[in-house]
Amino acid sequence: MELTSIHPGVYLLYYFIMVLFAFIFSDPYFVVTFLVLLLVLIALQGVSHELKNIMKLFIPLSVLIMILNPLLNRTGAHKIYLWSGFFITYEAIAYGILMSLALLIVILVFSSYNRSVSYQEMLYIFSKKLPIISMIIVMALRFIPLINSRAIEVQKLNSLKSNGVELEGEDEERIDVDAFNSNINTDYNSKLVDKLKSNKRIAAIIKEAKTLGKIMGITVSWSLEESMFTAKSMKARGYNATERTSYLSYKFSNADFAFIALIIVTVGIIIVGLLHGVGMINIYPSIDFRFSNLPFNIYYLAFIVFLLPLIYLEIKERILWH
Amino acid sequence: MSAMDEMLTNMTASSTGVVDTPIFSITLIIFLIILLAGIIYAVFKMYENKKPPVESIVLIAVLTAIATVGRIILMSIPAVNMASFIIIMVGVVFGKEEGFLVGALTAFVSGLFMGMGYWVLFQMLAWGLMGASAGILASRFDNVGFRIVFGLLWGFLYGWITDISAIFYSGTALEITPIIALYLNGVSYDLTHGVTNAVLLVVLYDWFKKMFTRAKVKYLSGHSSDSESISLSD
Repeated sequence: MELTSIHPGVYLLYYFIMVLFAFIFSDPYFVVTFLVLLLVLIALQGVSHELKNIMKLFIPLSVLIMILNPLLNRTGAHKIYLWSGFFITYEAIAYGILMSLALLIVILVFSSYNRSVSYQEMLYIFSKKLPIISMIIVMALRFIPLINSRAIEVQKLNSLKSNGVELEGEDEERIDVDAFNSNINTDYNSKLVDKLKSNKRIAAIIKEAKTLGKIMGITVSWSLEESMFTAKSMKARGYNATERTSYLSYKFSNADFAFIALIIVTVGIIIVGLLHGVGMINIYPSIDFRFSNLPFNIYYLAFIVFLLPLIYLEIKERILWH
Repeated sequence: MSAMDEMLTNMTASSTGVVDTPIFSITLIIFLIILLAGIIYAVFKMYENKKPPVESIVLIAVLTAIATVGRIILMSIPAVNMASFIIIMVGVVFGKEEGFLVGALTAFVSGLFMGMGYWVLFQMLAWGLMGASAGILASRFDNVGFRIVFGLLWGFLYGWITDISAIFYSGTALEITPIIALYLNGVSYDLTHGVTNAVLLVVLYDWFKKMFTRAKVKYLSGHSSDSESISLSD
């Protein structure tokens, strides 16, 4: 529970600008500052399970970019000869590393966004412009656990049936799983299919996939039937009779105005800096970055201030709670 | 190998020559994202303006949920999902608009589960187009060969469209190398996706078509927004 609640629209604007900045900045000092402050924010917000999953995909991709970029890209003034005639360029290496960092920053920004804005809040923003679509999304979110539980039930039934357990009940009421077997069309007899079927491992996979398809199909037809009860019920209770209202309601508070003011001021300064070329470096054809060019100016300060408010809110919350 | 190297170097040199200024690629990204959001918003708005009956709304919601479950239950196996198959079937049976809606909403709803990002926009477009194209080409789907080609092709097209989202990570200019790296990284993934689609379209097509057609005939025909009144004889 947040003590200082920020309007979801403000969050959306803030994170959108953050993503744009991740694209724009290429000066290593700015990029590293961005990364460090984001990591602090995420450490305060807590590392989510999804982030770990995404990182598994991200690491091989970034390694591939870092290796392939110098190998394929030979533009650049500073050549490093590995052996006679074969060279890679300093620029290409720098470019590969900076690009991977930008990729990392974008992933982290969205991970942090998912922590700050819940899906109800996001749908609250959409529901004003697209009421029916957000209605569909909310309904779909409700149907997912329902379909899941149905699929588990069908799977239980299927495993009972395949173990030879006869089910109690009237003949008409019994769900005949064997009848559904005939629905799956596997009568494509050819030499290739026969050859594939003769392989034991593939046969096992085919059997597994068949079961999965069967369970999925039964669940789908069941859910389609059941969903119409929902529709009838909605109609009977007067859906569309009047305009719907939202469960959540947000009003702009003083904190929101302060947040927006901060965003406008800092982004304004940063944009002036960008127009003067602060925060961006040219990599090709020749890298124009030196570590001695310390970026201690107003633009860098504005950049840091722009990234701080959420960290401030998190820390304030901790102090208030403990 | 060396010839290919040389070719790639030349390509890089020529491409950086055209789009060297950083501002170009940044405006391009913003333009592209706004364009994408605009396209998806326009389709959604078109559907809203039709004032769809309750049955249509519930049907799209349940189909979206089914497709999302088809993606989530197979999350542990990379690249294999049933969502694409369901979206194609929705496009074939219910039409191109429903196909687009279910495709786009599936990407959005599973994004809510698996983490939101701006790449969700590209997934929405890719799956939406998958459903819409299936709706447009619906009459040819009784041909098995066509189904296989369609499933395989969309495995790759989906990968290519969603990979666009990752091309623009670079802070400076558009480059050919990261694109190659990305697409090399994605080939096996796309192939698996395509093969899954093709197999499902061959094996389960008839059954799902029967099921969806039944739902369509039963619930959607004869209902228009004018006849919204509740008949007591029901």
